[in-house]
Amino acid sequence: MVIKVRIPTPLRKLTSGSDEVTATGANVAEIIEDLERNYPGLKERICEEDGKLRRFVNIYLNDEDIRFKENMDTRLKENDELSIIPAIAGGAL
Amino acid sequence: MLSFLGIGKRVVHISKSAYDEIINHARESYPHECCGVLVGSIYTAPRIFESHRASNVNTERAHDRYILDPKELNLIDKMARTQGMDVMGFYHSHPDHPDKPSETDREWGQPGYSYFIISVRGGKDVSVRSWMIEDENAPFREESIKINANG
Repeated sequence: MVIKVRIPTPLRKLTSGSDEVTATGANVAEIIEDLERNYPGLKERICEEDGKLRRFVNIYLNDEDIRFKENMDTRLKENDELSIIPAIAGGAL
Repeated sequence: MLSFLGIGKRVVHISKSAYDEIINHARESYPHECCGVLVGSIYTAPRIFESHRASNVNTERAHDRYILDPKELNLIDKMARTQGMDVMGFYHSHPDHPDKPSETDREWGQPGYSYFIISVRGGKDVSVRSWMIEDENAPFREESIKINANG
């Protein structure tokens, strides 16, 4: 199924500036594989080598963090929307 | 040297209301770090029209670290889009520390955003500088902040 994916600023160099793209897949992992086919380099910015989500990135399915669902195996349905959300952190020390 | 003199820096515009609000948030949160999201648009330069407070979910080390609640960022991002705007950057405070990025800030810094850092000394005296990273492996570079009184 075709899903809309929100792309954050740091990754838009890889999508020719697009802030929203579409990808096909039945779960989050398949969507990321499809994104990589169309926008090479995107997967390594989202996933570690073992396929797990990098700590600098969160993925939201509609309003829920996929880490609190079934992570990369989270299944998708019609009209779902994925958002790649950067992890924003730091501090004085 | 040119950069030291303020020449060659990228300019980031911010409305006075948003600028005042992030300072208020930093003072109110002292001695803890506050954080939030800066929303606006890019014309010839980035322009920040709104600031949105967000929760610092690093409650164990709130005095010297922050983690911006990603759930709130997701909602603010969606809201900005419906208004034809985008997330331009983020702000956080450094209680009793300088308005410069720390090593932790650099470790977590992401390219393309303006990072406003508000130094709050003794809960009262403040200074603000903005920083950005060009690409993933680059250091933070300072931006010139231009405050716009009329939005």
